[in-house]
Amino acid sequence: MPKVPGLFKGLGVTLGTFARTVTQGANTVQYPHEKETPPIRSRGVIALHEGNCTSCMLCARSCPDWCIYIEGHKELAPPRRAGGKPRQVNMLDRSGAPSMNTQNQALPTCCMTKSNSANGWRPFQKLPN
Amino acid sequence: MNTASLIIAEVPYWGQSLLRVLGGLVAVLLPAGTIVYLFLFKMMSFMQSRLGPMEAGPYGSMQLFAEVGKWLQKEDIYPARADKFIFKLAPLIVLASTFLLVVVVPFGPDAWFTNFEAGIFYALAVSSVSVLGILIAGWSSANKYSLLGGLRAAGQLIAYELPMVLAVIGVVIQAGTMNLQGIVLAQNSGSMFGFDGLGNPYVLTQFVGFVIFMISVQAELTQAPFDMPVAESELVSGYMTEYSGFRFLIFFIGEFATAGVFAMIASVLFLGGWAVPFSWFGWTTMDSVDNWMNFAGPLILFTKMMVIMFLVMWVRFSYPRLREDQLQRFAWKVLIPISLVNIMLTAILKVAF
Repeated sequence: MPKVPGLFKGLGVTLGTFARTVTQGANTVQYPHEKETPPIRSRGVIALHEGNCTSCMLCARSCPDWCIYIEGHKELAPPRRAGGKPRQVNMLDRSGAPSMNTQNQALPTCCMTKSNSANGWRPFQKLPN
Repeated sequence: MNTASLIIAEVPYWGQSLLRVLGGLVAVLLPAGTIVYLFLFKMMSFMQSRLGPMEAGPYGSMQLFAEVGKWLQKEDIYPARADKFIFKLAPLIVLASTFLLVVVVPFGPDAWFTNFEAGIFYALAVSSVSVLGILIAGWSSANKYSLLGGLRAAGQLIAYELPMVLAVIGVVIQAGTMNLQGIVLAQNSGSMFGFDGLGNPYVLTQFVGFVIFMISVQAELTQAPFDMPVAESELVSGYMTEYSGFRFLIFFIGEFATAGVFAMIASVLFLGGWAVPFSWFGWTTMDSVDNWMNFAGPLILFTKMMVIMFLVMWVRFSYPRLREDQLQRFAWKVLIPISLVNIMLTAILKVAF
């Protein structure tokens, strides 16, 4: 007889889960039809679109752990129109970051994308544009 | 007798037999399919915070047909050292006991297959036939896991047959008849302390008997927490280990069809069966019941069966498996003494009132 309250408690657990699934939906994701959004503070993978980078250093400054470094220099590019002045562009020399926990902030520049795959630390990844 | 029975009487004998066969198939397979989809697929998933099958048909409602199609395609394998004839016979015996069981369930004032005077006695006797099928399935598989599963099933079903019978005796004493129609009549034309708005469903007056009956049904159907005969972690799949394809399908259908029929019998015994309380429409005897109950009755019985099945499946999805000795101890030391006391009290109260 001492086990009887526990038995009813167990029934309550399953019925509670049943009611929660009916009212609020399941904890699962119907994978091929929908994809999981990364959780808050997820440790994603950052990637660099090198051609877009202007060495603006915003990404390096926003990194809370100071783990991104960017080195660049300025170059002169040919003018857009005939007779114009050559343009000054920033070129990326070197850059590096192991990975970054951005506290779910969007990376500030056009050149960095945050990947959704959250499988731990990855070397700084260079993607084609 | 009213029109429905007159219509039936004009049909030739072979036509009546055909109708009965079709009715039996519907009465066995429709509840089984509904139970599997609604409870085994959906409710179990929801209780584990997942959605269950969603791909086949809307909300996965065609999943069972997909499974049946898959099983029918599979090769019919039997072990080299199996006793082939008996091996093939075993699932059919299990399924046959289900069909023999549904025969006595009344679905309406005139909608029944047979109306035995000792209907509940017949039902309890026939339900034991499935033990034979399970036992020979375990024996003829030539597999030690199957043999152990079959023996466990036999021990369990025999142990829980007894409290089930004893729990039913309380109902039989109170109703004063073993005829299932008579039990339905006694519940729905009865009254509790002069109040007849609810009739007298025996789930209230025979609550102890109801609990014992439901626990025994749970064990008879080898549903968790009494599923030692098919314990997958100890015995692979018990007596079903060597079965594949169509024969496994028959075992599977048999399991849930038997569950449905047992739930129907439980609702006839304890929830008033196919009828609503007779005082609602001013009926008094079985003959005064209107003809439309022959059509509404099956639906009412189906609804009550679903309520009972919900209880069975809820318990099944909530509790872990008992150990073999705990199972036997529970039957012999707890259920049987309580049900004997219940019979005694029922008899005393029956005489006193």
